[in-house]
Amino acid sequence: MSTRDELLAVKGLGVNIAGATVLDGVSLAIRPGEALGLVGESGCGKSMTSLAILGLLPRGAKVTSGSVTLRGEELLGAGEDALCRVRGGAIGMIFQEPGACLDPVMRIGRQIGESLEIHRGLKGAAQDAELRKLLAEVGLTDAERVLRAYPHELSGGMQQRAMIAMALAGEPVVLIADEPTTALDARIASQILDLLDRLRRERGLALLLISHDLAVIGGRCDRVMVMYAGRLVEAAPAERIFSEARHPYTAALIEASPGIAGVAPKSALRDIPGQLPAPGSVMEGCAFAPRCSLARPACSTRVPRWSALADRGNERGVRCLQYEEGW
Amino acid sequence: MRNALFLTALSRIATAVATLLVVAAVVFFLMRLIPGDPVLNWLGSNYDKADYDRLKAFYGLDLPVGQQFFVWVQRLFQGDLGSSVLTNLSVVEELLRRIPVTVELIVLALLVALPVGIGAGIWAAWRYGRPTDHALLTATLLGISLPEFFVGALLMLAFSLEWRLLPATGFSRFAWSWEHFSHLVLPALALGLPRAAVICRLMRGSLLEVFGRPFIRASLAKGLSRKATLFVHAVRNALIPVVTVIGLQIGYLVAGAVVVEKLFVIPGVGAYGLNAVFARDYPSVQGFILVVATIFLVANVIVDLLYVWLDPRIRIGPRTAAA
Repeated sequence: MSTRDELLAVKGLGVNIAGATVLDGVSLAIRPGEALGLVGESGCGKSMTSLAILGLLPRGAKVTSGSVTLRGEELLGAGEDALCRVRGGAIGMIFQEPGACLDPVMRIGRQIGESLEIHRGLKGAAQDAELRKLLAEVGLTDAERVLRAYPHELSGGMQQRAMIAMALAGEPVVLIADEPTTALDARIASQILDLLDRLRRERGLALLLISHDLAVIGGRCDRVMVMYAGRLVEAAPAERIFSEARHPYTAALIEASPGIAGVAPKSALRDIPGQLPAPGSVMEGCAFAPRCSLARPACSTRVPRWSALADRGNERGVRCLQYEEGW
Repeated sequence: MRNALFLTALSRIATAVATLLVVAAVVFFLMRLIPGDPVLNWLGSNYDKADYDRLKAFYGLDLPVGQQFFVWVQRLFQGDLGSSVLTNLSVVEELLRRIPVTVELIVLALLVALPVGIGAGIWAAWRYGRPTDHALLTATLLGISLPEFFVGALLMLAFSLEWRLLPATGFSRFAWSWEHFSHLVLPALALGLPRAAVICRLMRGSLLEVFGRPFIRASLAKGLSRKATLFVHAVRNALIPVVTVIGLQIGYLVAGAVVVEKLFVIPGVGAYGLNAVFARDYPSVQGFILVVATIFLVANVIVDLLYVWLDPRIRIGPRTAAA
């Protein structure tokens, strides 16, 4: 893709927490109207990536390298005022556990209204009208009740819809959804994903969908990027990743996932042996080597480079020594 | 919401009245278990047995304890707390004259403790781990460790004796005048500052806990500045557990008032109660305890209502808001 139509671009992002590397050379880019899926086990750095984009890394975490640009404008190191305009403005974000992400002692209407006020200066009647429009857009029909409700008076699905309305209030061009359905039951989860899909089409939003669940990502995204231990290990168009996974980790992840749309499991579900390395422990060599069935001695000493794969004009890439010279 | 508030208030008041009666009964019997005899106190060591018996009968102290209690409760419902064994003055009149003084002192102490404590707590949490935080933690540790009478004595030394800014002791009748309030500045500080220290630490801890909750990150992610997030979302949530403890702190304020009134020679309920206990002046002690318990209970009813207002998750029902 040309850099011209990139809306949000992350390049070579590295993050340390207390000296331990948690993100290493993460690069991704999203175009308007595109849905990019970011997948990986818990703790692989997906959420850290989204927080770094918004400049909301936890205390003690430091960006060591890379850049984050929104419409060509650098966000890393930008002033707090500029970041406040971007957060909830150009970039909206929703999280896991909507119930915990809403202020328990403030009415929903005021919480969404806050966003309308800080990003669009809407107050009073104008704000009220816009609130009703937003609620209708996210499928919350009983506006009267919802606006006056406290978070605990809404169901999980309604809470997430309210969070989405809040994220939309600043008229974002990018929406980051970090595990938006993990805390919800299956039926509600698929409704929320449908809603995100619709909003993307109607508003031309660029969607960064983060999940540990390939099944959530697969059916909803144009492209998928797989992360492992703070590094991207594979990128591919969504329709190809299941049939043509190149990285052993992606393949293992697919074998371990039940019910991926359109892909019947070839065999019984297979667990991935071992576990994700602790942050900062293995950054020499391929982090997946200890769990990889194809690993050779070289895998634990050499960090694999990102290998671009030619694939009929689609951008594909993989970080595995198999695809490098001298394998 | 209104309805919830009303029902909660009603159930709290009913509980408070019952508690008051239990407290009264416990104190009534406990006082009589303490060695010492008010009539003997009054008569001194050289007395006539006939005088002694006459006085005992006059104050109704010759009756069996159970019957004394019955008589006391009966009179209580008629608004009569008897008269002091020491001065023969009506306990009710004496207390009514002194209650406003003590209540004013406590209110002034709260006006010191709440803003200072909550403000310092917010400041410390905002500057978590930095020098300001460490300084405040050290100062509040001192505040918690030093008793009111010591703080009072220090304030007296500095502001009255050294700098001659404020009167050391004494009292003047209530008026909206500097003359009146100047006598209460030091006592209110002596009473309020140790409480402020406790509230500061609680507020700091509560805020730090709230900072870690997901809705704070969500608030930042929607574009609120860190300051706005602190004041709009964090502080109110952090106040919920602190308010509960403030209710209990009122108990310390009442207890502290006894000492502070004595130290600064303020004619309040506390000084009265202290003298009454030393003299084994049963009717006065009982009246005093009743007043103290009432202040404490009223304060806690207010706190419970504040709680319902602060936290919408608390719903109707006598037990849900129990802290």
